[in-house]
Amino acid sequence: MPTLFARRYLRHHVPRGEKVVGAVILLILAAIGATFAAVSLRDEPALFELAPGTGPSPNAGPADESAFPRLDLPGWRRPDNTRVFTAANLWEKIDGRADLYLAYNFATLTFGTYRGDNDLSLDVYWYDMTEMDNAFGIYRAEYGGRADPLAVGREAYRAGSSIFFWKGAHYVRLEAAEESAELSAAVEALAASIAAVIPDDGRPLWADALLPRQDRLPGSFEYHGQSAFGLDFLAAVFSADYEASGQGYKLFIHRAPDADGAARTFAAYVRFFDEYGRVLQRGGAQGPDLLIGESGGVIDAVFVLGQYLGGVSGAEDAALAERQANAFRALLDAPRASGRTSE
Amino acid sequence: MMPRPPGDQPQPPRLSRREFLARGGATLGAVGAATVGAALLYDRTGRAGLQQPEPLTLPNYFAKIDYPVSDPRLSVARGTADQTAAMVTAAVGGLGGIERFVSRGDVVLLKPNVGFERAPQFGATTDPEVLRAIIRLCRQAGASKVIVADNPIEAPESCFARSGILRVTREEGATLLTPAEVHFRPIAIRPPGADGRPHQPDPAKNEALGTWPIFWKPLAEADKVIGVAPIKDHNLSGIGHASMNMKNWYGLLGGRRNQFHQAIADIVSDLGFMMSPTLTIADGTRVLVHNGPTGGSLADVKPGYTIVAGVDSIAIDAWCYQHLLERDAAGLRYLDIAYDKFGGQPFEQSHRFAERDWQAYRQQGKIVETNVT
Repeated sequence: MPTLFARRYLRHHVPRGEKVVGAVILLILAAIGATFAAVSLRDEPALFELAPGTGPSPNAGPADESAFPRLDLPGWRRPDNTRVFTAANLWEKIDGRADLYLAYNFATLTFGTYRGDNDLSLDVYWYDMTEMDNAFGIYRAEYGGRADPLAVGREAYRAGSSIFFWKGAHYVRLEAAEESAELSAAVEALAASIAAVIPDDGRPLWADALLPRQDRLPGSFEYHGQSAFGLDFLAAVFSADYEASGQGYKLFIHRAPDADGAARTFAAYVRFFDEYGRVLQRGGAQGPDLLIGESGGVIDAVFVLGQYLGGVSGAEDAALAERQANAFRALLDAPRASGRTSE
Repeated sequence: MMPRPPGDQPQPPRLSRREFLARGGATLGAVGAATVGAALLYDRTGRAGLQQPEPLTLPNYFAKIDYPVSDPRLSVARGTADQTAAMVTAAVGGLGGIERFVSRGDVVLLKPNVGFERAPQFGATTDPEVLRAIIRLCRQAGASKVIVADNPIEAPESCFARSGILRVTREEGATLLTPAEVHFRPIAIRPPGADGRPHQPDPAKNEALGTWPIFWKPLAEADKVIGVAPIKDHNLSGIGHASMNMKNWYGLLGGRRNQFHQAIADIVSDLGFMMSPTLTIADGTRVLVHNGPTGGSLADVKPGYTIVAGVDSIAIDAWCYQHLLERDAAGLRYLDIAYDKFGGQPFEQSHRFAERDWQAYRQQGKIVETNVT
């Protein structure tokens, strides 16, 4: 019988050396098998990780349904799809718009959908903006005065059956997918419930008291989280629109942590005019810390007063800009001069 | 048979040292080779089956259309709220009718903007009735299959449902493709160089995208591609605070596409370079004029009652920007960049129309305007 290597007979005796080699080979094979088994049994979490950029961000997490108050209307249920978004993954919810919120020091978005009978639904976008300046800022940026104001929280407006408001450090959007009396009632009740649980010490916005009321255009008071008036060095700025002698202009104020901070921003303003426009005037009757400059055909007049940097932006006339900036500075300085606080 | 006497038993030959070494060596060699081979083949991360294929470039979906250069490039139809289908028909009709673009047996991909979980009235997504009208036109032209696909920002199922696109797709018998990881594959925005190596984007030429995962599955099936975008405001200044037809192709991108916002004009013009659609239909039935691209408030929406069909990706965006968003299209930088990338070439070479100034078409009589009321 032919066998391997053309051996024509069965062997009745296998030499010891061959047995040893065979045993070694079997041991090696067993060792290889054991090695693979051991490797395959070892826990390797990386093996099951999603590729970067796929799947929900680790920062996106479900939130307890108690994040939202109960809606005491028949047929309505609290959200069961509540999710919390942070700065790291806000784009997963509002890509293309997330940058605007980040510019206002966004902290978290808690999102959930209330569901009622008859397939009614109501989305709630509950933004924690860290500070009330930012909550006000993003509210005003999105409001734009295009809808009827409403008495919910600090400020609110209604559009269709939806309601939008800010209070404390929070900005809340209650968005109804359609318009109906039933939905409007639910949105109103929910807005009141949410507003009731948002803490707010009632303090006014600090700049509202400092910017003059005279000649101020209604609804023009705003807060710019970053890049105010398109200037990347100018952040955390309040402004309002004014009109005097038939000319429009903007007054603005920024409160730096200290006088050095305000001086640094002032210096950046000077560099801006040097680079992208021209300095028309440095210093004035009230001191050296006045800058009047022109860029792109519009004129700014900027002053520094302690930790404040303020002035006029977007004026057409340098004399008007200087006059209004000086008047604003005098107004700002009056409480300091008289020993009173500014608020 | 008699057994052999013991002395007659054949003696096995003794294994010579040479043979022993040869066999032992061969055996050890085989074991060693098997071990090395196994080690080389061992997939330590388990991703071997997930390796991306070689990148492709997208075909020009307009190239097969017989479209004389003397024919209209833009067609505008205006109507009222309940005339959506008539506006779509009139707009496409102004370019010669859907039969010019869709042939019998074609698989047609419709790419709406379903980026957000928003009801249609907020203007953040393509109006489902516009989509319905286009699906019906494609069916009339004999399309064998109409695919509707987008890669939304939010959960796809919710976006398609809330926007009404899911309902219309089902009612019209079209195929809805929602994105899954396996539906993406790397697409080279530009063809490889002469040396066969992938093109590296040159920031100095405003190029931003090299090779990127694209929602490929619907594109792979499609013979014709029609973009159907709403005209809306956008937060990013780099694209003139507007999201229109060219930006609509952003919805085909996979990966962490939010990282592109810093160079958005370059990206959007790259998308315009990458995608030469069969036809573009702009949904101006309602226009989100503030707080885009998400919207969410009726206070931000104005009625538009307009449908625009076009065969020029640049001119249609410029026209919509000017007439629907009512902003000055002359300063729209991403269109300047797009024109630099694929405009100014003879049609015979590029097989695509590209005119930076839409008013040139007006002067040439290449804009058809129809009022369906």
